[in-house]
Amino acid sequence: MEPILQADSIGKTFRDRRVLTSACVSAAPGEVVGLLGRTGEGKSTLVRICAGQSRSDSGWVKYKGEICDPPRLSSMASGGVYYLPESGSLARSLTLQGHFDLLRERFRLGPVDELIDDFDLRGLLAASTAAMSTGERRRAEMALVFIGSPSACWRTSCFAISIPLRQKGWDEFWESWRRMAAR
Amino acid sequence: MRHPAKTHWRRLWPGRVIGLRAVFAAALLWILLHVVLFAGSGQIAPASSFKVLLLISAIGSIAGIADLKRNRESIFLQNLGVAPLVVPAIWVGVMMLLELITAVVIR
Repeated sequence: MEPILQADSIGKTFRDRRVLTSACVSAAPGEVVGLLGRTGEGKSTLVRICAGQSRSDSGWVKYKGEICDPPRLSSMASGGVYYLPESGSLARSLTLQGHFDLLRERFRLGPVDELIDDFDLRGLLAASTAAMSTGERRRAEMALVFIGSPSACWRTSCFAISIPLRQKGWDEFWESWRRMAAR
Repeated sequence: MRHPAKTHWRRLWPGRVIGLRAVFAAALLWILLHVVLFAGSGQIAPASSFKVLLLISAIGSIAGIADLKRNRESIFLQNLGVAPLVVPAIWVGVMMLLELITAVVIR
């Protein structure tokens, strides 16, 4: 199957330290791809480059068969990419309801009540994201990904995600990712 | 199923809440600048010159970027398909517009 996201020959040097030499990653629709490696080996850097948050020294990134030169998250997001960085993706100036409203308005999405209940976020809708705990913010970010229903999602440090309260464990959690990826 | 943002102008407006906040904050900064910087010279609104416009746009873009960073809006805006520099651009645009309107009214 044709990969929806593809990066090849990515090289990156921070001053005199070469982090990536010729890194490759690709993901087909419906696939969950994980990058495993020791600390400092450039996993997050590769994802940041693919999501347009950092410039590579060499190589290319393709989304839906087209080379993104340079990759820009705002352009890729219009075509269906969602990026969740380790540092968080919620705006401090908005309430959680504000996030949902903007996402729904932008991508003309339907009602989101069911997912809000699935992630047990109803009590947090009026709260500013700055007043949420880290776990609550992670849950909210996950809900935004599911509600946005993107074609592809880049995520750094996926184990920093807390499991939604109504899901029983990792198996169900990964199953829900697979279901989303298969959409 | 997600429908991508189809029209180009949608990429230039960060939504009502973030957009209007940037507009009002930029207007407030413009008023404060005039009170603090220019009131000392004996006139609230000096005749606009190229130098004043340059100064206003530099201050507006720095304030806009600082606002974007302080509120950590960049990633969320990009995930919405909005280029993050739109926010500083709104700050600069509003401040320059107010400056030009003032210049026209005074003359």
